[in-house]
Amino acid sequence: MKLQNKLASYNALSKIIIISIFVLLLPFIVNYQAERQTDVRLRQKRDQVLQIIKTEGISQYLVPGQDSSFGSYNLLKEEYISLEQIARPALNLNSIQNSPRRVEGEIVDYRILSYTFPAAGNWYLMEIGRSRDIIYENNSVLQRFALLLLISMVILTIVSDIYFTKYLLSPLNIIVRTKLQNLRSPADFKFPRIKTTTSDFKHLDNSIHEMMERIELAFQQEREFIANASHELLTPISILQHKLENLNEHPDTSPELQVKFYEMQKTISRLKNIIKTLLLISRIENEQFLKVESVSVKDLLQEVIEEISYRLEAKEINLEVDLADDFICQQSNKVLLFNMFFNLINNAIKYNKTGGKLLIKGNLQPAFYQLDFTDTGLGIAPERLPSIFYRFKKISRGNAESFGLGLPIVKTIAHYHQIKIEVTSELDQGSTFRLLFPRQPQLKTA
Amino acid sequence: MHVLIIEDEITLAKELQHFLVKAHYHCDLALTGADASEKIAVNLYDFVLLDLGLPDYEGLDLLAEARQVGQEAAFIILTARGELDDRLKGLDLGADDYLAKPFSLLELQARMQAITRRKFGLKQTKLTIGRFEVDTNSYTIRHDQDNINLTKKELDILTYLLLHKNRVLTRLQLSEHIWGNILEDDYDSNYIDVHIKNIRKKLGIYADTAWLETVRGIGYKVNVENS
Repeated sequence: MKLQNKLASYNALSKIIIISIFVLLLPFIVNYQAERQTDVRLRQKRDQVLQIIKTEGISQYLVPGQDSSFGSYNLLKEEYISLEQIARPALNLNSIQNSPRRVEGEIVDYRILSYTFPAAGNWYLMEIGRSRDIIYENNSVLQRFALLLLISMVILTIVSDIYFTKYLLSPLNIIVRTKLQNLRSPADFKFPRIKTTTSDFKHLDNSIHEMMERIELAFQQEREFIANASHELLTPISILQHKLENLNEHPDTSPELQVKFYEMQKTISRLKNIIKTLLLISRIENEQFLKVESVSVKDLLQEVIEEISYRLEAKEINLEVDLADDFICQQSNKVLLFNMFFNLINNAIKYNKTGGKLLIKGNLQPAFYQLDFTDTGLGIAPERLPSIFYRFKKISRGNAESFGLGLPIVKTIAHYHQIKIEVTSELDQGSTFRLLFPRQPQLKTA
Repeated sequence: MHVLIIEDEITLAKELQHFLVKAHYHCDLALTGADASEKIAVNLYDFVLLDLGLPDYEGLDLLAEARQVGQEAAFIILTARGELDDRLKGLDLGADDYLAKPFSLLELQARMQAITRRKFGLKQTKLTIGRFEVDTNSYTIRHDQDNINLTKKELDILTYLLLHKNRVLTRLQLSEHIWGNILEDDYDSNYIDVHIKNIRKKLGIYADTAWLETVRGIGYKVNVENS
């Protein structure tokens, strides 16, 4: 799940939970608040009544010795007040509680303030009540209104949250989408820095750039080292080779020595080929080869086969070429492609059985041109398959000698031309090297 | 013929000189670009072997200088740099050939001979052995009036052997000559034997090929005495 979605869901969920709790608590809160309000009102009324009694005497309501109680309520029985003369109470009463009262034959739930006080030598109980129906009358309306308000606020904030996190995280999305996905080699990493005011993303972006620069530098240094080392090695090898050739021609050199010199030349030649191969690979990796030619796979295969036919004959390999379609390889380097085909076919011969078969099959697929080289040779053990393209991973297959540089050449050239290679193999049955040429030359991301 | 060897590695220069003197060339050595520049301006050469990796001079500048002073020498560029751009630039500036180090001295000689024939318009483009005649212009081989059908590779090998008559050519030298432009991970030079076998078979129909000798463990040789 993407960070953005996670944040949005968390935000939405937490808001909904908090709001639901609040909505559940709302009736209690509103009721409590309404009662408090009522209590305050009741006390105010009590104080008013007491003030009247104080200034004008209790006789205003009750004539001592005549009336024992006084009561007054309004028309809809929403409120009432009563005064009653009582015996001196053991405890002074000053409380508010809910209690039903019968008013004109009708039971009404009241919130009642009860208060005892002395006046003119007698004790009185004052009760001020307010109908609870009235108290809670507005609550349900209030609740419904609050609920609607809250829900619309929640929706509003969730939407704004989603958009804001999206906006906030957009630099991260750009980093992930453009800089991390589809990144094949550090050389492809040529992106501008992200514009953002979020320091964390700036830091992340900078770190990625620095890392890529370091990797690219390391790659570059490795390639330069190989190129320089190879170049420096070629001069002494030249000297050795020329000395040997001159010695070989020397009149004092006996035929026995000549054979020895030849063996030495073979060793030098081997060294030379290893270095030249490394140099070739590093030159391809440094993009020192122009890719400006359009090469027909069919024609080029024909050339390679002509070149190599004597090897096919020598090993009595039965070659079958089945090209349903031809393919023009655009923006390519013919010499390199020739080398790639040559090495693939040469391997298929070298690691084949005498009298074996080699099938070259090519046809167009929707996205690729597919070219298979299938041999009936020794095959490659499954555990060795992953490493066959590594330099100097010598695969001893049969008696054929190899430096293990043929397939790295193939891979480097293929990669340089954005050609995919797939290998399937079965021991003692043979191998298939499948080349997938992209039909649309992939433009490098600038 | 006069050859100027421009090479900063003295050992390498000496070996080249040694070989070319034995092949009856007259050789001058220039170990620095400055020295070479002076020699090119003063002397007339038939060949200039130019190493591009000079420490004090841009090798290709020498080529341009030589053309300015009217030097008509054939330039063969020798380089361990092997960079494609240099090669293209060199050929544009009028270098006659290009050899990547390390190369075989025989290969160098063969290239020089080829340039001699081409550049100096020598009529002698035919190599003969017995009554076989190879025409290096039309790239054909005949026995008296009969054309013999050899493949290009077979003719390559035979021509190379005939260019170096009486000299043992190793399988390696032959492989490098005909497959030098292909970089594979091993030279299975035994394939040369296949070609030689075919050459013997095809030529044997017309005459004895005892002159095409096998040198055990090394390679092949055209022995003129046996022709």
